[in-house]
Amino acid sequence: MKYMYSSVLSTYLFDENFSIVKEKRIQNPIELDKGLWTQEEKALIAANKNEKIIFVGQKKEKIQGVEFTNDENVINKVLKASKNNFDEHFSITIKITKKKISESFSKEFFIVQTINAITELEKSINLLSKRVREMYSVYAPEVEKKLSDNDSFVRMIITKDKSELFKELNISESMGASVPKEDIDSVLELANCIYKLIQEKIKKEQYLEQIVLIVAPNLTAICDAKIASKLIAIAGSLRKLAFFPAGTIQTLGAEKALFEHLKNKANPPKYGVIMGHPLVMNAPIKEKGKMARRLANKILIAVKVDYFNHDNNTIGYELKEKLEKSN
Amino acid sequence: MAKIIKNEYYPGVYKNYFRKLFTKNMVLGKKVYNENLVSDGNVEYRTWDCSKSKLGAALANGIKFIGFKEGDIILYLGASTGTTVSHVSDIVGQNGCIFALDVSPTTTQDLVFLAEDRKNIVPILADANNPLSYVHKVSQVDFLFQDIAQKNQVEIFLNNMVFLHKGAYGMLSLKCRSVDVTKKPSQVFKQVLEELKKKVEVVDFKSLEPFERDHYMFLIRKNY
Repeated sequence: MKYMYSSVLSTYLFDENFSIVKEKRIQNPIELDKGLWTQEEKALIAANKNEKIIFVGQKKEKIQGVEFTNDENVINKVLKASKNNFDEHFSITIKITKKKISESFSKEFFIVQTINAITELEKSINLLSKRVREMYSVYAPEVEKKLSDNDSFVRMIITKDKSELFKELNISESMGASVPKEDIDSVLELANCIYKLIQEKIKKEQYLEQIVLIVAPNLTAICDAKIASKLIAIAGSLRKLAFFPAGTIQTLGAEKALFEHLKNKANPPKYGVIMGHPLVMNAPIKEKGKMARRLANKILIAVKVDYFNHDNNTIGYELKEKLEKSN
Repeated sequence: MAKIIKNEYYPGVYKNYFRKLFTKNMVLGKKVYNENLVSDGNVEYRTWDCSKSKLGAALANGIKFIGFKEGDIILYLGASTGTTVSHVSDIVGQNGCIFALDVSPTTTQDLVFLAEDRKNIVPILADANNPLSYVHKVSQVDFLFQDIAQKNQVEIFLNNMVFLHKGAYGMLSLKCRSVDVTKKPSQVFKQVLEELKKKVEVVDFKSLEPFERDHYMFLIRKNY
């Protein structure tokens, strides 16, 4: 019986007393790090076919005649007995880490970043619109009061003149001052910036719909792109979302109320982020909790299909029909 | 500025009259996390911010000993962006080495930049739940430090004891709310103390107040 262990520098073969029998230098340590059998390991195994070999490490495939061990004693002795040229060991390990980092990119990263960017754009647009409203109120307060929606307000004051706006909105008298041109131009420049932020937000929303459809088609079929990406962002990744129980998905986003319930015996929350879904919003008040629970159950099925069986993209529509029929 | 002198309880760590902790800067003039640099003649010291570092908080609260010295090899689980790792690297010096593990690629990027300045850090991108997945990258170590906020942090710690020499020390930073948020922190502490005593010798434990709430640091020794 022999023991075998590979470090990033070389692969070792030990006898039963843990003294080194054979040592071979590894040419491709990156292959070793991915869990594949390297040439040198396969050669050592083939040369000792009639012996049972116990391997210390983790591999993706099994080879006949080789067993794996979890025994702490064996791992301890094998690590002690293998020599280490520290400088080379370090530089190779750092290279492997850099390669691993560069390969850990996934499309979900951009989903999470984009939905966070959209939230931040909305906050910035609201904050700056308040500032422009306050500045414009000195010039034409009746206009500012009539246009309560930020998007249309900003668009109108950039494109139209004060007199045109008065005609459109049927304003006869005004308590606005006559502000000099340079001051009102400064206000309109800021309004221009807000207009560009609004356009950027619309572009990001369109881009988000495209990429969520690629990563999780069934999930976007049940809820729309925004709620789907918020769920993925709170969970961290599609994999973590697929392993949650349905009760967690129901309350994702209502963590404050959830922990108050767990620690201080308050009432539990009925819904978190999925509150924005039309099925939950349009349900009668007494049925909202039931609808949220049913919706969370179906969402979990869709997420599991998306993660494990990417070829199936019809089940999302079937689940949504079932929910709408039973209503 | 008050004069900086050696801390007699923890070799490698320095202190001043106001009980602030410092370590000797290995890379002169460079800051790691926007801390203060203090010069005293030819020597430059970095202030150890104990509210950002669990190890610093344990030392400030007087844990029995630090457990490692200059020239040691250390396995650090949960290295994050490297605030505490940089101070450990100052103490361990150029002859020692730190295997710094973290599970997230974005924070390991910062560790790689830190390792380029200081030649005694080896950043590894791996999951500490699975020691066999990085057994080919690490060696036997003289000290094990863990600062991971997961539900099964004690299990992870005991699984990674395989890398320690016999008779060596380890430190576990326990976050009571991660283990079980519904129980009282003192209950979780007792439970963890019982679990650790079955396998290792618990030399000392300290609460990390006022730097962190409901955190404890355990200093253990491996006797098997």
